[in-house]
Amino acid sequence: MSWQWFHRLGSPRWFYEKTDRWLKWLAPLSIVLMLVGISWGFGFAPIDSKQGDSYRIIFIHMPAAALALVGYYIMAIAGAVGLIWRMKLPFMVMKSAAPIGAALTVLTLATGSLWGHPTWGTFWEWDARNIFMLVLLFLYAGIVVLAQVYPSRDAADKACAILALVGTINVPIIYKSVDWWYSLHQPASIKLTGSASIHPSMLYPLLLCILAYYCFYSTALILYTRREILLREARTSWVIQLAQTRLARRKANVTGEGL
Amino acid sequence: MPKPHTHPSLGVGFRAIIRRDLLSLWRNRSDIANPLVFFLISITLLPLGVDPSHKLLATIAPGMIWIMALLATLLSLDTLFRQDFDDGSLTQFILSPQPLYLTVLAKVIVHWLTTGLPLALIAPVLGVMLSLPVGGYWPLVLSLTIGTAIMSLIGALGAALTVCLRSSALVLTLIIMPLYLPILIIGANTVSSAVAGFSASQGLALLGAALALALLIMPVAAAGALRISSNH
Amino acid sequence: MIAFRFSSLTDFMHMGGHGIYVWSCAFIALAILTALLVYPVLMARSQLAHIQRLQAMQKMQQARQQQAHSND
Repeated sequence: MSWQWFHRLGSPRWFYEKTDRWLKWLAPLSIVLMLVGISWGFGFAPIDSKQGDSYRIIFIHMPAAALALVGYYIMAIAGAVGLIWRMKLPFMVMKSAAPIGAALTVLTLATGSLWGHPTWGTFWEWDARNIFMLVLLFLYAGIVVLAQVYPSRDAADKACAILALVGTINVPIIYKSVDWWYSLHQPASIKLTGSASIHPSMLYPLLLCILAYYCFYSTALILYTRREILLREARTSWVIQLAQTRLARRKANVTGEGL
Repeated sequence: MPKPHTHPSLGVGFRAIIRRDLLSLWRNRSDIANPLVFFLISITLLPLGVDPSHKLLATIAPGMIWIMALLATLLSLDTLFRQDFDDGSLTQFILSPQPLYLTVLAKVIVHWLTTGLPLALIAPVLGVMLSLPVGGYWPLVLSLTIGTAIMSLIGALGAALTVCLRSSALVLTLIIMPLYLPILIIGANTVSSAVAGFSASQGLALLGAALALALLIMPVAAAGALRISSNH
Repeated sequence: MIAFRFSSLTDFMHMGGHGIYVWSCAFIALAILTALLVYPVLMARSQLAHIQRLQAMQKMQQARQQQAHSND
């Protein structure tokens, strides 16, 4: 009886109809938070004593990195839930999380290298975090490619879930080993990665940006999952009904404007 | 009175698969040479593309030999399950009462015996060609022996996931590369730190632990992936 | 504490000499994040349109078949 809500969660139709309502406030909230957070960081946070104004890239770069990593775990957990309880919706969420995470990883790498040039003189440095982000990109790319290339959709779901789970074990191992490798090969020049304690006037906009990115990620994940639902449930009656009502509404709009 | 139906013991099934794979590889002996030839050729290309001074080569020798061993293993992984998939024996393996874990383990052992172990044994020759300093040879062989075993195990998962795809080479490489990364780091650093005078035992212990973990997890994951691949 | 840190808009664009890096980052972020929101919505709409077209075609085929039967 108590598991009813859990299995209701697994219904794509329920998800689609619920998110119709959620998106109405979630999407504008994400956009507003993002704009406010980044404007705050760019325009109103104090200048950094060591790096000058180029440090402001952190407001874009750091939350993207955090969400790229968290997104991988979300994808893996969705895959695990789908494998264990054999539900359709978690697999759709997993498949949707992959391109979003990959895009965020690319954003992290691009902004990181643009930050590196004015600050440390080079666009690319083989340090632990850079390598880790690059490997994360490959992990995401593997899942995206596997999902596309597999002949049957159910088999693709399960294969991607297995790959994501193995990757989850691998992510901390990779981070630890790359960190260790880097500690052995640290170059002579000491890099300034920023003071350990961050001033509140810089911390608050950063936290706001992190929150904004979380909301944004949720919105994107919901949008991609909705699209996946329409793709997979195309033959069900409620989706067909949805398509008809959408057409009827558009016709009504057109004739209404014609009047 | 009908006799009770007894299955062969696990050991018999295990050895049978090893014998079968070894036999089929022996019949295509040239396949065994492929990774070794790739290994040798690519190491030969290295001093031609880079300044062949002893000092430079000695610095990069541990990493290069490890990288080439990794690539050679990667090349040979496609054949791990492909023949069985094509001729239908994979389905038989899945349906048989023999646990799929043991079947995968047997095939991986044969793969390592015919790919990884020869690479590890021939590595000192390549070390000489790349001016590897004296302290590095024994750690090189040991780390490669354990490392190629781990790579065969991890590679089995990748091969199992991609066996049903037509052009699987690129996907296989993409999938497996992040999983190989920690092994490469630990293995290459074992050899370089041994060359620098430190003990190799720390790195070898880490590799041993990784092998134990891989022996536990990888065949299970590969078995699950095989079931998915053949059921598509 | 909350004060605009730049003396003018041109200073804001200049970002203490690092303007090109900071604003390219902003631009890349804008491009990627917008694409992440817009692409699924466009794809969902085209999917719905596709479904609707299929339905319309099926109905036409059924109508034609019924006509063919009634003419026999």
